[in-house]
Amino acid sequence: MKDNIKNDDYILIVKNLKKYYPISKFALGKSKAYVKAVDDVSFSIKRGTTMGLVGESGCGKTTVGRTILRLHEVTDGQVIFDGKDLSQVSPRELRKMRPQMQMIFQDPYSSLSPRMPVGEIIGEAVKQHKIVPKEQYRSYILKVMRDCGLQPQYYYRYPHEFSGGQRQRISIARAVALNPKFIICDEPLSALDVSIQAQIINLMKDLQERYGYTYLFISHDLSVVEYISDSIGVMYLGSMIEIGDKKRIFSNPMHPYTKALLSAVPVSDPDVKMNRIILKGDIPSPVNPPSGCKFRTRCPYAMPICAEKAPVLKEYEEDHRVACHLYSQE
Amino acid sequence: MSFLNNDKNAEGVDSSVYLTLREERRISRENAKIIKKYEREKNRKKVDEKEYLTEMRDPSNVVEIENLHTYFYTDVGVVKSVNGVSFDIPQGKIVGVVGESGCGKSVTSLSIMQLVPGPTGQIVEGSIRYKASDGKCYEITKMPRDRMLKIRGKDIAMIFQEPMTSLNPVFKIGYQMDEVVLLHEEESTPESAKKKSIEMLKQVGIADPEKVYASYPHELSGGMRQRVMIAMALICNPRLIIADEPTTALDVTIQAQILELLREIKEKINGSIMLITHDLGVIAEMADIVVVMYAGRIIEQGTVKEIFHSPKHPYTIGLMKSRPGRHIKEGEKLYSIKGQVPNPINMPDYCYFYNRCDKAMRVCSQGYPDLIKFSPTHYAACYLYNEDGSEKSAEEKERR
Repeated sequence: MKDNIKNDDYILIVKNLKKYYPISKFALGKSKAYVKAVDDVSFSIKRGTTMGLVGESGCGKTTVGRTILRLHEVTDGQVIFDGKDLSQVSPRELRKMRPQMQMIFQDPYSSLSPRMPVGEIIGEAVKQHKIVPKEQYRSYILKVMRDCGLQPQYYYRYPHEFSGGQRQRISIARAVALNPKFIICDEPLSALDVSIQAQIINLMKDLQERYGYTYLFISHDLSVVEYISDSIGVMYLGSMIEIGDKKRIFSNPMHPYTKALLSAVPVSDPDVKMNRIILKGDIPSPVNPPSGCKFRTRCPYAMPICAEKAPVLKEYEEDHRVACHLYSQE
Repeated sequence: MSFLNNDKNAEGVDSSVYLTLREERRISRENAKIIKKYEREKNRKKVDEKEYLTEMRDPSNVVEIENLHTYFYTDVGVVKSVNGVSFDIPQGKIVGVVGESGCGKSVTSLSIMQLVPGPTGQIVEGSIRYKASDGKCYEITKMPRDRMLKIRGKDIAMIFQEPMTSLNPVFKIGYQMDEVVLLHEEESTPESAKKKSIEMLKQVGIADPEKVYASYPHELSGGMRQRVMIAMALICNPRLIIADEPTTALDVTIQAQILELLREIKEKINGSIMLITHDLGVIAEMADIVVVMYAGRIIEQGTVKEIFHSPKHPYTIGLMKSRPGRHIKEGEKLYSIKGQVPNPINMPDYCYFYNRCDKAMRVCSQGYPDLIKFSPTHYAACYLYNEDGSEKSAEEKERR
């Protein structure tokens, strides 16, 4: 991160974020091994934009999201949200900041309480954080519901009466009701059907235009990410390997993994024959990642240096950084 | 409070009618009677082969499905999961079935395998004709259970969506694969079965087949497990492979590997594949013939080029447009099909897509449309088109 960037432009700056989970403890509580779920990840998001975070399952993208919100404690590194370092603030202060950052979860079936009616699900946190005065409470909730495409008569209904798409709308309404600045969307579409996905994408775009939310959009579906994001980060095994402007990454992917990932997406046109790069093997275990570059075991261009030194993110062109030895040598 | 008016047709809310206990009891009593009749039929032993021998309409097909109806007799009413589906699976071709969840695509495949979860699920009407390798044609809907055992897993094999739940966690991969061989091939010995299993694992691109042979399912990654499933499906040289969302649980890079493998294998054994998926990209890439299903019926069917280049039914068109991709310009909104699939109990007696369709006319709410033929292979069920396949004029649409 360059120092001359005005921090005001960015709502979120993540610096060298690390999250390790200890495994197989010794008898006296000292850990001998760690799962490095997130290993030295840095990025920043401008106000009012959407950043897409892509990668295969197990690459740590969900952990990044949860660690930013301190749903998991940070092992090391800084998360600067709106000028404050979230990894340092006291729990009391953090609680006050909670309404400004919200999360939408993947599974709309398990993330809504089955025993609460819709109005209460959306309004619970509004009451807790005293977002609006008591007398305006009901009309406020109804306004939020209308914004999210939910009809007022759903107020007293329970989640089981709704379909997946409508439930996801309830989750969005719950997040939006607190007037957040920043919303983390953790695979909000993957449990939905194609025709419903389009409805939810449009809703999220509408809300962003109207209220200027900043999204961190975590997904493995590259075509959705391409549509919704302004910038993109590609993760592999806990590290960010390529990051930058959406157009630059999609038109000119640099890292061999990004290239393979983009070429693997099936195109809905029978005439297009993709020049597909098929990666061999599976993602290695994060407990015992390969030395040097983590991708080298599957990389078609692996060189001797890849096993020795881990590549770092380097600016290749404006707003496009890659961590790969292929480009650092010239 | 005025805003609590109960709107029964509100979008997105389960509009099922609440039943009293008495009504529910009456329904389940009636269901029990119907189910008993079907079950007795299926459990018969020593049935004369003549009863289920039949003729294929076109000898180049492996499977012909005609007017298939599979219903589920639940306590709240009859769910018509598959409601009059007809299509053919030709030899050596990949037939792709697309549709949203609950549209009956999986139930169609389970009907072919005679695996519809009973006793509530029953094939009520229609025929599924299967041509065996010895030239005999069987009527699967009339086949007794013990005969079906000889076909299932041998001539028709299935690959399921979730490889973890379809492999038994307490047995080693090798044991589960050998079992298939020992069951279906009479002259096989444990040694020959093991040899065959390892050979098969090698064929599906597993680098270390001996090690995988001796490991438990939980020791393998998702992509490896799906490879094992494919190996297991292929081990008896099936004539038809039914792949039910084979790549949905996998990552894109692994999905690319598996699709490549399926295509290679199809070439090698010259079998047919029925590929069920909701991903239009996968269909475009793999299928020769596409069947689009909606709420238990086929609404459009054709070759992959016909479906992707000139889709006819508004649902198919909407489905294509609602996918984000290269065809969307910067800043353009995604097209979305409003509303959602109707409740499977109490289906309307008119076009099922009427409530969600942009082009709905009055006639659409008056009866279910017939299939209209656009070319020898391309059909769609929609009132927008004349008998000869041309689109109706604007005035005519107005008049209707």
